[in-house]
Amino acid sequence: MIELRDGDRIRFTCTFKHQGAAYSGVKLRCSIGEKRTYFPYDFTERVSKESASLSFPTDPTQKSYTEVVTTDAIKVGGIGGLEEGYYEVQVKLMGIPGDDLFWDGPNDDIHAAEEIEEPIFTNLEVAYTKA
Amino acid sequence: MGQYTDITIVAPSSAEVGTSVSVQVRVYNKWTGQLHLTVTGIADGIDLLFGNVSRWVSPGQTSSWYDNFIMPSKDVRLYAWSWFEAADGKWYPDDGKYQDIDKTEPAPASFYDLVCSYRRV
Repeated sequence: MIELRDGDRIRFTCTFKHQGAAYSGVKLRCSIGEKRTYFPYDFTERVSKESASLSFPTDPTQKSYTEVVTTDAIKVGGIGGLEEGYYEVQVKLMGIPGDDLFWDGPNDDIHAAEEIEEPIFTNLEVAYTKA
Repeated sequence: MGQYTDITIVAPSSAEVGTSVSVQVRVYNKWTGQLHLTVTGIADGIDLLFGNVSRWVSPGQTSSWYDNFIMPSKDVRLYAWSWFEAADGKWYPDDGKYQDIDKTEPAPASFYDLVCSYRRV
């Protein structure tokens, strides 16, 4: 599980395979959100980041590709930020022939937590007497 | 048929558009003495130089030259020639042959096996 604090980023490393004719206009969309636990299992994005547009040459045989996508700094807590709680990740490969290709991370694998303030000790006072 | 050599082109009869097509030219020395030989070719207007390699080939022996080109989006007639160096130090063409290579379209693009990992940075 990942403990997510305010200002953290999540870096996704994704591999997939391509075979056949050259193709362009493909994008990876990496998201953090909430997956409904009952049918239909929709995914509600709370944070997302897309890769640049990807192009592929003709690959007569299957060829593996790796792309890295890093989110912007994620706000946790406060107005517009992620509430404290548990989230899932979802990645989809978009702009490909046919349906998008999805990858779902494990449930509740990201825990967003607001910063816990460090304890502060102040006002130390000492009295002393001759013993 | 050449005067001193016979060549054989070894290349596929069809190739997928955009893929590399390997070409082998086998040159047989049918003369009675050693020959200093090389090979050139042309495919879709692109010169094939077979590495600019020349070598001596003994009588009755066969030697091979290799090159490749990217298959264009049309059928190609591949030409190849053997050359020998004469006593005057000049190179002369000898045998020449061609082979037709039909284009084949690549299969439609498909994407699969998406797997990801992630970490906090």
